Amino acid sequence: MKKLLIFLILLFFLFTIGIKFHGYDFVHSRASTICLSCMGLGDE
Amino acid sequence: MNKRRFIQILSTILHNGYINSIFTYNIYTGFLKKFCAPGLNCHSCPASFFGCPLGILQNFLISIRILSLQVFLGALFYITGFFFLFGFALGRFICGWLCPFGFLQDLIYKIPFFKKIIILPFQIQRYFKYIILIIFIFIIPLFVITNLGYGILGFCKYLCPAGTLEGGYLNLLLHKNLRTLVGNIFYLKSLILVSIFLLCIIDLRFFCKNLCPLGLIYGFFNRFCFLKLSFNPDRCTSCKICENICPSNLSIPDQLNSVDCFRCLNCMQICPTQAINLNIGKINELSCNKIK
Repeated sequence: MKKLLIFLILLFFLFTIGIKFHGYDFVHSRASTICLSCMGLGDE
Repeated sequence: MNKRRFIQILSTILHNGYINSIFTYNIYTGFLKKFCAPGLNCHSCPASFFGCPLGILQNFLISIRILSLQVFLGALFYITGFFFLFGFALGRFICGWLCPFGFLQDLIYKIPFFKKIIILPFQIQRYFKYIILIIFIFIIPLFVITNLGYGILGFCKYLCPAGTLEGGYLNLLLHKNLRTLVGNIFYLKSLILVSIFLLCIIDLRFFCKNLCPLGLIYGFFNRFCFLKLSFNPDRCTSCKICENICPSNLSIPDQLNSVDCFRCLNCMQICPTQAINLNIGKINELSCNKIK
């Protein structure tokens, strides 16, 4: 029970700050773009 | 069909369910892309609904120098939140039960061929994933900088077989204009992909066991997460059938919750005396950590 409580508090802390500062926008912007590096296309 | 296979199929569909991309030729850009999926699944895949946690982590690291403080803090805590959520809740059960690329390796292993667990001298193959995690996930993205001020997505660009297959080949099928960009790096990644597939025919989950940095990160949580394996010494007859069936060649019970266990649960299912059990949300008094 104590372990679960620590887990939930930790998650609440991380996601609250993450969402407050719009961390999801960063994830959305990067994950919604076709990434040539991921595909292995385009040499340097 | 057994329960594990059913969950793997379901998870693969949930990870890659955007079939509309066949008609629109575009990747999914909707609401779900604000979240990371647990498995190694390239978010450049036309069918992918979620972000890849490793890809997003590297994207954060490559742009760390140019982010504003607000975006830096938001991304840092949000991405860390996903790793803690998946790690503490499931650990490497994600590898064994949810990861689409792990499922693909399970299917490849069914190809009839010579089967053997690949073990190099001093078991050095187990340390490859540590090197990949440190160099390709952290050092290259953080310290190899392009003219634009960004780092380089080390793992995604040079190694990731899921990216080559899902992002690379599927997008090349859909977008003819991308084919002009195929170059040496793509050939290198294709060679890595084919090599991994060949090794996975011989050795079950070769990539997960020896190369996957995401599996390694989840593996660090294996000892602390809610889903853990426990061992009852009173029931054990030392028949060693569990060790013989373990695809990771682990010593049981000492390594029951080690980083290298990707939770296929073969040991638990084959044990004739039910000496190995799955515990959810509690630390069993008879866990292997306690009897050592």
